[in-house]
Amino acid sequence: MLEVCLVGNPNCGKTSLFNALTGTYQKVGNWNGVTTEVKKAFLKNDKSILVVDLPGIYSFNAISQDEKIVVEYLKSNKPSVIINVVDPLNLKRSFALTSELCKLNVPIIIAVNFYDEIVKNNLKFHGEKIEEIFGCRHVLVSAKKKVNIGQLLKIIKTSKTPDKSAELFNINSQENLKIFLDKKSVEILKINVTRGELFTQKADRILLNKYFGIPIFVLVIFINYYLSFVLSKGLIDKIDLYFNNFCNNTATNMLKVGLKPWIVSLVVDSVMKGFATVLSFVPQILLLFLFMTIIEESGYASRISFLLDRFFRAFGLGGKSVIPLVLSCGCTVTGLTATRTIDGVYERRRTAILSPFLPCGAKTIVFAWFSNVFFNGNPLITTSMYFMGILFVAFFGKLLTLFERKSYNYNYFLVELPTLRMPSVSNVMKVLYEKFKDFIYKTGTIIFGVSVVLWMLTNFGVKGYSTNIENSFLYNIGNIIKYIFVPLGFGNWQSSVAIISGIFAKEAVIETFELIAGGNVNVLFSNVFSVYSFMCFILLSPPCLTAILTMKKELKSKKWFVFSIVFQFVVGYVVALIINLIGKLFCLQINLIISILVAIIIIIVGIISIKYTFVNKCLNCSLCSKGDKPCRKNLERNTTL
Amino acid sequence: MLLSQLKLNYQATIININCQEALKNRLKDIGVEIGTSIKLVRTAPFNDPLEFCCNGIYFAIRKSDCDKIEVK
Repeated sequence: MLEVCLVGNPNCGKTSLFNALTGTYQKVGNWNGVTTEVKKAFLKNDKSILVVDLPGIYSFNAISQDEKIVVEYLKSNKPSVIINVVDPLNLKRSFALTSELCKLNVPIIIAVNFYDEIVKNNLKFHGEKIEEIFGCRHVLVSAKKKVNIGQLLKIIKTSKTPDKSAELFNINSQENLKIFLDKKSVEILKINVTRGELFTQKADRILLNKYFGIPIFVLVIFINYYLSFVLSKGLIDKIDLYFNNFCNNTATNMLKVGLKPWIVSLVVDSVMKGFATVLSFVPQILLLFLFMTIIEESGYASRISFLLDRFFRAFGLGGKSVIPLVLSCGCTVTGLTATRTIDGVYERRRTAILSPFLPCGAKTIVFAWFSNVFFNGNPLITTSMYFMGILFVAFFGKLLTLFERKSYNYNYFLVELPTLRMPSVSNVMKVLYEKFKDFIYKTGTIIFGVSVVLWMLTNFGVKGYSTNIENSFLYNIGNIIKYIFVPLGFGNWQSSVAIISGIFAKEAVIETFELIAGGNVNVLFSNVFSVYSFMCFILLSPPCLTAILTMKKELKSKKWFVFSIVFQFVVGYVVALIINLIGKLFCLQINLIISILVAIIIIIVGIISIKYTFVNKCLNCSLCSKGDKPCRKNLERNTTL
Repeated sequence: MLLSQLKLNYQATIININCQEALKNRLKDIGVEIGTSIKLVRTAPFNDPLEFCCNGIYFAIRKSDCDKIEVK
């Protein structure tokens, strides 16, 4: 078996080429560091060749985590062939890596990507010079437009290690190499300003404007959320109606055929109705991801991090945290994996802990359902959740820094602003298709499992099968848990059960309500504030089981993992409590004093426990940067300070 | 002169880079070294970070890091 590795600078189109070669779909975007993991797949029509996609690197001095993966991978698995993907508009920089790769003694093919842009700008590309310099073959390809992919495939098998008589190998010093590559890259392609660059400069004058930049960003996010609700609302209602009729028809038909009522109840009430509710949100999810993909693929994502760096720095995060946070608004899991591009350990950790605070697609569905039920489908409610999320990220980002030593907090920030590109339609469609598939898959597995379990728990009790819900296990379980949520304003067994099932996947929350309250949830919440407090609890608690597991993987420390999960639940609890208290202040109920007492106790206990767990230990010293366990030496130093 | 004192749309040549090793390597990766010419393209809201153009690459770094880079 032949192993072919794609290596190149960040954002030069390795993953696009990977997708074109293998026919699979991996996430692409127009910013540095989209790929953070090693991805493998076989060639589309030749299963003897394995293609490996790697994160982008500039050189072999790896700094961030995703870069270290590449260097380690290349060192431990010697690939059969390396395809060095090169960006022709940044030849000088690409060649610095190429010259390092040529010394690995592995067959290399140089794939010059973005061929379509060379043609579009009428540039003359002297490709033959590449072979003189590096002694290996080159192909001009365009991964986006799928040009010359066949030619690349042909030469994979015949590729050779770089010819030692090539010009590169006659240069001995680092200094000379630099001058040499500078000279040669200009000879190969003389670039004037390309059309894309001119457009970028003009667009940036508006997008990154000192005064209008941030308002434009807020507007973009607002439009994104607002539209995805407004546009999908009509569709959602129609789908819902259709499914409801369908369910009722099936139920009557099944009863006619002579099936037992409990089977009908299992199939229709638990499985079908639950699916219907979740599936009716497909248009909304797809619209949301459409906007997210456009932001990512156009190159606006890294511009957001430029705009908001100063703002986020005030809250213990930085510009680099912005992209993972923006991605978290689509799916927390992708957001968490994107934190690997952050260079600083502490900033990365903080971003990972805080990213679940932003509403992911699944949470958005819950909010949309709630706003449909309680607020006449007002899109402002769901949009407000997004801004609440930002607010809490900022607030708790600052809070987390207070427990770290200042001197170690400093991280540098460097972001490249790539040329703006038109997102390719085929790629956007692919993303949407993948999201659709994921969504259906998730509904078919986790949501299905949860709904069957819930159905069993609602219909069985200590006395066996019973249609009276008060005899069921679920009723009894919920009644025990509900006391935790009494101060939050939704101390009833239905909402408690919904929150528990929401730990597996947030879509399960609405399914639970549909199943056990029959969609009649108005009675469960005493006022608007308790609804909002429930929504805030959902917003701030971990989104799903997958996210919790990813969190564990990304934090790489048991202590921080446990801390982050507990932290998210506690924050959710306290915020929900506060909102409920505000509501109570308006209604002046008797429970007020009890709730205030609980709030005060929780806050005090929280602060004391955080202080005890973290402050006395050294977290940030360079001496024990590998783990979180404090070394004795620093403990002593800290106590003396 | 420090890089942070560069005026908008002015060009200068880097003569010294004193920032931390990690950033220095990063800058070198994207082709910013002693001797390269660099141009201030724009400043972000709140005047920080600053966007520069160097060899056709647009990138942004913070003002505090620009203080550690000398230009001429």
